[in-house]
Amino acid sequence: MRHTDFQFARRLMLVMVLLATAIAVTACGGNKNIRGNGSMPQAGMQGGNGQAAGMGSRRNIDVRGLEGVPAGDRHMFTDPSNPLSTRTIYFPLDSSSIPSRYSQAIQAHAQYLANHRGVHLRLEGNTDERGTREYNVALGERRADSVKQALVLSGANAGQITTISYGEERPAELGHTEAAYAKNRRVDFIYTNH
Amino acid sequence: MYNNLRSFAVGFAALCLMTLAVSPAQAALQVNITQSSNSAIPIAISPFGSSQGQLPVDVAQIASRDLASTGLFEVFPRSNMLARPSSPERVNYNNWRTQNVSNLVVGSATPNGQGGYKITFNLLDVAQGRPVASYQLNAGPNQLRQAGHMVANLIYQRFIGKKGYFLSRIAYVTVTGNSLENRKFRLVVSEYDGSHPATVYSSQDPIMSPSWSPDGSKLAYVAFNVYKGISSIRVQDLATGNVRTIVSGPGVNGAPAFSPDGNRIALTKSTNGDSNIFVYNLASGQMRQLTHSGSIDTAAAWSPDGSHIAFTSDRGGQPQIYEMSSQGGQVQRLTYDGQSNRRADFSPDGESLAMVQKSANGFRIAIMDLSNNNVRIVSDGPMDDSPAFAPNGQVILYAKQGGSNSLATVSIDGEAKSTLSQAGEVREPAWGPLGY
Repeated sequence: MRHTDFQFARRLMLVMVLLATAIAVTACGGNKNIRGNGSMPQAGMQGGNGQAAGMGSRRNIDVRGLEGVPAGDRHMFTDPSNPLSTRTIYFPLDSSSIPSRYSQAIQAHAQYLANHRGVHLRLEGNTDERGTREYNVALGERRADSVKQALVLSGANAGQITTISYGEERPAELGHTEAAYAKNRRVDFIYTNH
Repeated sequence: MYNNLRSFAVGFAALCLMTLAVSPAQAALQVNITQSSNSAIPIAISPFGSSQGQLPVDVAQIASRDLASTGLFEVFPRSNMLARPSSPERVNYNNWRTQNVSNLVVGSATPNGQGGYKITFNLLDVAQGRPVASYQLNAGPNQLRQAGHMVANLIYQRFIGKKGYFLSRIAYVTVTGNSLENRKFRLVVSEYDGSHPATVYSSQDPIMSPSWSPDGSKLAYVAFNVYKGISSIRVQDLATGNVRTIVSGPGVNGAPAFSPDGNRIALTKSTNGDSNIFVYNLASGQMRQLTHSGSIDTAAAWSPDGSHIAFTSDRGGQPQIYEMSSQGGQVQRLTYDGQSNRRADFSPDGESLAMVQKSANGFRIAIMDLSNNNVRIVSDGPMDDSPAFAPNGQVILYAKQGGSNSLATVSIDGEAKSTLSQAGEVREPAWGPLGY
């Protein structure tokens, strides 16, 4: 169908722009650990249906979302100077285009996945609270999938990555301000072992 | 206006109590009428008499509350009544005329010998000084509360010309907990006004999108399992608590909607980030894909005759409401008003569509007349969601979000409004069938 082709072309173009930017941007100082303090998603740790939290490690909050990473590698994901420490991508309003500032992070995660074929990554898409709930679930899924496609085009195996969308149901920050909304329009990287 | 003298009896033996497999109830929603119709009908319901002293349930009060909750009736307070007659012969019409009560209901209940009651009541036209309608109904053991709702249904129908919805139930999702790490989601079923709530499913993980089966016996809804990273559509039998999971996995498994015949569920699934509408056949377990777009297609709503499905799609850029045959095929765009439109619900007569319209004033509930595509806004916004028609089509129940997070009702003419609230968030209302 023509429309499908258009959508795919749009996505492909997006990813190509992203890769071009990745090549252009080297050693930019922008790899802050944008997961922020205290606004970490609890995803992957919460026993939805009575399962106890897998790692049980509230003592090291940064392990959250890293259960699927070998213990010896985790430091790479928690070192703020390492692009792997960027484990949340924030999106503009109503958009599933990955901002170019994340090129390095996408490259780094894709490379890590390519080099560790047994590691599994779950991408969790989220939106702010504006709009209707089910539409937002679909929008969050589109965000998660756009990150997945970028990772796959950068070398990750599609089979290593699953997506889920919580729409507006799991905000990183409560509140009804633009600042809270900006924190909630996101895709979280959850390296899982289950 | 209502002066044609008619007498009729209404059978009540079939009134059944729906049982629920539930957890302990939580606090009921607090109802506040925020705006009444300018042409509210003045009515008084005198306490019902009984040959055995006081009735165990105040039937007249239940009926009065039901009628008042609509905003369409101005119910005369019992405390102002000069007398409390329970049969037409004992009514002093002059008393009521001086108090400007133009409609009066009097009635009584007598044991029916089977543990229940035979209830007789009359609607009196005070100006004319005579009864204009007489009703009789049978309430089984422990059915006096339902009988009160039925009294209200009959009076409502007499004046409004539509069946009353006071025996219907609603489902909604509540969220409690003071932090993101400590939230509790509950799927709750209550009477139409939020009273007698019962939790039918609860989880630390999000619960979404309840949809009633047409007979009111089941709810379909979405449950997430954050630990596993999956979403599921579950169909839960309310009497037994039995759950059937019809689709489950990563990606989108959402927006279930029972077909009007109860045999199928329209739902949303995603592939490669694109959400599409499917129809799941409950008997065969087969699933058929209806849309195949590389865009977001979600929030399916069946036309009451089952022939069409309206849905939300951003295939044209912004989300709008589209319609197709329930077999799939050609798609037609329905909405052009406002900046965008989403989450359609058909009125029970199939003649209009409620939706969430985005404009400069935020997200508000809109009703579109499908015969001429005229759209009117009936809520204030700025972040309203989840419009659901009452089973008689006269009221829309929806969620107010972005702060107070309560439920609200509005009559389809926009005149009568109420809110239903409690501590914590209340969201995603779904209105069940009439219940009688």
